[in-house]
Amino acid sequence: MKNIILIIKNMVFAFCCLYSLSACSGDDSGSKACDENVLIDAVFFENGPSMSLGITKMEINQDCLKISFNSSGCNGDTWIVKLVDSGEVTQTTPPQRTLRLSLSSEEICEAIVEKIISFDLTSIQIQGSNQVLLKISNNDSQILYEY
Amino acid sequence: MKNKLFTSIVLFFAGIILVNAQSDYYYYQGEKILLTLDRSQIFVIVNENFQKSEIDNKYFEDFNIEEEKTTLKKDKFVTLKFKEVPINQNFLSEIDKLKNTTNIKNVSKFFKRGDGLSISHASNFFFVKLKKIEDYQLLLDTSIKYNVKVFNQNEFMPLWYKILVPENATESSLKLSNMFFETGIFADVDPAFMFDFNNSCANDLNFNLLWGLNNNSNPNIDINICQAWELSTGVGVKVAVLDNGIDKTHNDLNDNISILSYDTKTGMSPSVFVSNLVHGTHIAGTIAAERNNNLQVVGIAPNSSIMSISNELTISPTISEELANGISWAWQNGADIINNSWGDQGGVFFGDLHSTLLEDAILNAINNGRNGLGTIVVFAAGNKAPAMDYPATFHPDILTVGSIMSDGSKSSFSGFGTQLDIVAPGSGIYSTLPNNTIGSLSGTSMAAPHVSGIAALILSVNPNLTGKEVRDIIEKTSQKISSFSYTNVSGRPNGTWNSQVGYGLVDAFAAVVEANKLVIEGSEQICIGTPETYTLTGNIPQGAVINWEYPTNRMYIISGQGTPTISFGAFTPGTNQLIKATVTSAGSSAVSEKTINILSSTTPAIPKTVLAPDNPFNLVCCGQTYTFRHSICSQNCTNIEWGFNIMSQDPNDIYYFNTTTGDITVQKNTYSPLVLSTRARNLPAGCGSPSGWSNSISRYYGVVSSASSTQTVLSSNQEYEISSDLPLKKYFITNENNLYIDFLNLYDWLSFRYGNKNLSDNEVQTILKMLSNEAVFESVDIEIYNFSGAKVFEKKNIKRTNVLNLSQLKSGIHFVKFSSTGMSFSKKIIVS
Repeated sequence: MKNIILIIKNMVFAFCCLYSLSACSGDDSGSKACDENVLIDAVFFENGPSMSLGITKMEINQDCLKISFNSSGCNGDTWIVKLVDSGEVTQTTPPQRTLRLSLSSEEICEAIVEKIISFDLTSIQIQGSNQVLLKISNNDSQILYEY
Repeated sequence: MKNKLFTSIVLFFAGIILVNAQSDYYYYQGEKILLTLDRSQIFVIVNENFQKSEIDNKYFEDFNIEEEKTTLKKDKFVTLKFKEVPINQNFLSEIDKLKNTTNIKNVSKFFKRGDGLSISHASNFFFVKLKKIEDYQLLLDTSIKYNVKVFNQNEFMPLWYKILVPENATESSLKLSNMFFETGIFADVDPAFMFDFNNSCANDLNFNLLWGLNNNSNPNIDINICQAWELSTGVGVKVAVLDNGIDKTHNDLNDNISILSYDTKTGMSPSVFVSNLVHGTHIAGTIAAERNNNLQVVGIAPNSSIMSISNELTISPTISEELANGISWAWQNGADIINNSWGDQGGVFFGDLHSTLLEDAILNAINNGRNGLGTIVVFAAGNKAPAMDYPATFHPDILTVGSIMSDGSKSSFSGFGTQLDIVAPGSGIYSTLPNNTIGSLSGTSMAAPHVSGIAALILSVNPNLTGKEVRDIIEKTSQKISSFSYTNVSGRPNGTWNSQVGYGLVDAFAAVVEANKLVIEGSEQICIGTPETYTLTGNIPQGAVINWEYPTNRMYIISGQGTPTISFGAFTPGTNQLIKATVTSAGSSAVSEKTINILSSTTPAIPKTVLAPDNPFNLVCCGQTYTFRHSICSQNCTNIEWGFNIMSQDPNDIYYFNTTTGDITVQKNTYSPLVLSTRARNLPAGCGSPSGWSNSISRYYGVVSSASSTQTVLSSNQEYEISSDLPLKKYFITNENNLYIDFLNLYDWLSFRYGNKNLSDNEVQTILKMLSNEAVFESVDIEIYNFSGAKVFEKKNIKRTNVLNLSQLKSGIHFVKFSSTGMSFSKKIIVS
């Protein structure tokens, strides 16, 4: 009897686990495809780390903004990279948001390290609009995010 | 590009070629081997100005001008393939035409070996094997006889020597190698054939990726490593890499890792390596990855030894101290060079890194490393252009390295400015990565180890160089990338410089040649009867034997045989005489020669001088500076040296004399006169003594207040003549028998009396006497004698302007004598 109960318990647990995994993947498929979320923080936008970097490529795939960039360092393992939104929306057509790629590094090597990192843009969608123009302040570039 | 490889040839002919009437051959292990002329092609070395249009395309296929990167000199070459193989006569005719083409330096035939492989013989060296080590002198003698140079001794086989053939040699190196062998003096020769291999100067599999070492796309933009490796591979040099750890097990690096290593965090040996940190392994590979092991890459100094000094190279409160300790440990444990591919990231980490402790450690390495010769400290310039990074910038004795790309342009990230010394390849640099892999990285991090590697090549051939000398050599020999303009800059003594690329792109070959050079310093002429000293500088190992040779039929040694400094005397004249110093150490020898002229002593004729035609009467006061010529040469004016003698001058006046031109530049600040004497002599053109001096020309120069040099005009109402012996301007006696006397200002009187004339010695002495007793002329002694010669009146020390009542004298003729400072002047007066 104990064994039957144990088997049922295990089956319930396994079902719950499978259900749970299925539910997770269904709900957060967008963010799981990106490396990081966008940080919306006006103070950090102004005062957060700002080591010089060079953005070499930007592209949006579904809700992910993939940024290729480089900066000086050893191998970039210590780098903390954030895409920061200033929090302000310019009501143009399409509306605009200003963002900055923030790099914090503690490396003093003189190699040029290339990195690719993607950010989930869903948090900076604007209600009532199906697109927003993202202005990247690092290199005065912009990219249209349609959703 | 088709690369060529020089090799020490070991030929095993599959089949012996047919012996015919040809005269081309070489020797292999004592056996004469005939070569078959390959008339299908010709090998041509051309200069920079060569144009394809200079070749008649009627006979030859289209061709490329390629760059020869394996010979000791970097030349361009062309392989001309005939459209149709010509008959012998036409073949020779084409060779003659090519030889007479302006921009063609050398024309060389191709031969075929027994195995059918084409070989050319355009090399400028060959090898000779001595029968026994003591035969070195025979090698030297033979080299002199055939006008070639003994370059060096093989490092591993001391009986073998490399012989350089000069550009102006009348015979090919192939023929010269045969001539050496045929003397019977030597055991063997190796003609160093040039093979038409597609390979290059290293068999490392990815050598073609190392554009910084050998740039196939832009042959002028690399460090000329293939030529440098002919001379040095970094043997015996230790390079410390202060970085984030090295994978010492890497199969292309492990044989060149020193057992000496240190971790700055723990303060202990060995160094630490974390596998995900690639930077340090990449740096080490660029410096010392192994060569010709059929593995991935090769370093610039592939026989140097890497000392790993590990540090995480991430900011921490103790990082300055750790880095300082790493540098100190390195030089105190024998590092010859310390590579530092790290910095403050455009100032972001200046506050974290800036430290007197760190700076002191760097300077101690530079000043005290290598037993006081100085460790070479190399730093990356930084990747935050235009900023340059600390500590690279903190001291000029640090070798600061920027980065260029493979097309010769500056890497966009590379810091630049006044503290940039040189540039090296730094973009897209392949090197070793952990776990037996390789990969490409960019940054001034990658440029710095190119320079560290070259420093290792330099020290390997000349370990006695100081750190400063190594830095100077690297800077002086750098290549001027043509897309930048260079100028002479104050504080940059090693050539022209540009703020973007410093002295230019480092040149491993030129640097090693410069470092290896023995130079005899001293005059290019010896005068018979005058000892001359010569000093040998350059690579002289401790304990080396130095032997001086010289034309014994013309010269002799006074002192110094066996030492770097020698004093010669000479007894027979001769031009283009050779003195030679041979330095022998551990079985290896190096030679330096100097051509001198031995000259007889001659003594030129004495010149004649006259007063300059525009010589001024007076000088002009005050403050102006002007130039005049006192006298000129009129005869025997060959190599004049002027002598000046100021006999009277106010110390507040300034005079400058040009002993070559005779010009006198004066700034007259006072009204004091100048008494000047000039003379001239001829110096010998070569050897000998100067002539005697010409007669002096002496002059008195008065002074006027405006730019006038006219004669001073004395008052026209003088009743009596002006004295020629005393500065008496006027005197007269009145009806009341009052004697009026008026003396002139001394300077005016001297100007009147002596100005504008050549002075005798007596006159000069008189003037000097009067000038030195100027105050005395404020008074004068008066004596009056009657016609019988009896003194009837006397007054001493009366003022120069005065009235004397002579009414007590009897009427009649009297003689008045004016005296002052031992000089006197007598005149007749009539007392009524």
